[in-house]
Amino acid sequence: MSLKTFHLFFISLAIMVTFFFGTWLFVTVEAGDAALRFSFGALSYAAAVLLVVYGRYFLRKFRHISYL
Amino acid sequence: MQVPYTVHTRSDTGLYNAKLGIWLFLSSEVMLFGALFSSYILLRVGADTWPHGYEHLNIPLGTVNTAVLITSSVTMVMAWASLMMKDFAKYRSYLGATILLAIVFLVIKGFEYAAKFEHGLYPSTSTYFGIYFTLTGLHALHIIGGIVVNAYLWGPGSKMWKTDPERFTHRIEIAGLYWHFVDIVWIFLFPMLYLL
Repeated sequence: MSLKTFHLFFISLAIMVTFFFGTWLFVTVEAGDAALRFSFGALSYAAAVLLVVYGRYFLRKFRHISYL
Repeated sequence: MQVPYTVHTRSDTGLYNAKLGIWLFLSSEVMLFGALFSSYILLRVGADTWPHGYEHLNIPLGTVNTAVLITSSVTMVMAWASLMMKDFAKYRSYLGATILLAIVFLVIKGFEYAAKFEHGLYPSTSTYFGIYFTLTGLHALHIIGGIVVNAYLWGPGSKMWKTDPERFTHRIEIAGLYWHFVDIVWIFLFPMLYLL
């Protein structure tokens, strides 16, 4: 497996963890400052979307590099 | 006599020597961290009460460190891609950024540890803190190892680019695979220790 494939696997995990973190902030909103948690939850979702965009860019830009 | 398959791949495995070596090494690392993760799960499931990480740990610092490591993976892969495109200057910038981000991670981790010690929280305080310090401490040691290797490849080791550029590019790929593994470990550690 090349670094390209491993990087795509890593980005997929990073998308999942940022999405999970955003959801965790929304679910535990009663545990602290609600406005802050909503803001950071939204920011975390935005980071997940950004990582999806980056993943697509990476795939397009390095399509000539082998997956093996 | 030259060592074979340092640049070209073997026809039977489809891999060059270093790539086979790093994957064998990473397999042993999976077993090491896997054993510790399993210990954590078994201890937690078997405990009558277990503290929530977010009640004891600094979530903002953990979040910043997660972002720092994700960014460092991007710069690491860009360093490798720069060499594939024969751009040595860009390679040095990206690898330098990776090293700096790794140092930032350690500094933040240092602040977190210092705060815990100030509050009298040590590995001996509880099972939770025992496993927290073991897992994050071992992970930090791996980060230090990555910094040493990357610093060598950024500095004196980069001379190989002039004599054997293909082999040097392979070396960066190997360092990148290790770095990604270390970052993946953190991707699991962060929700497990800080959020759940």
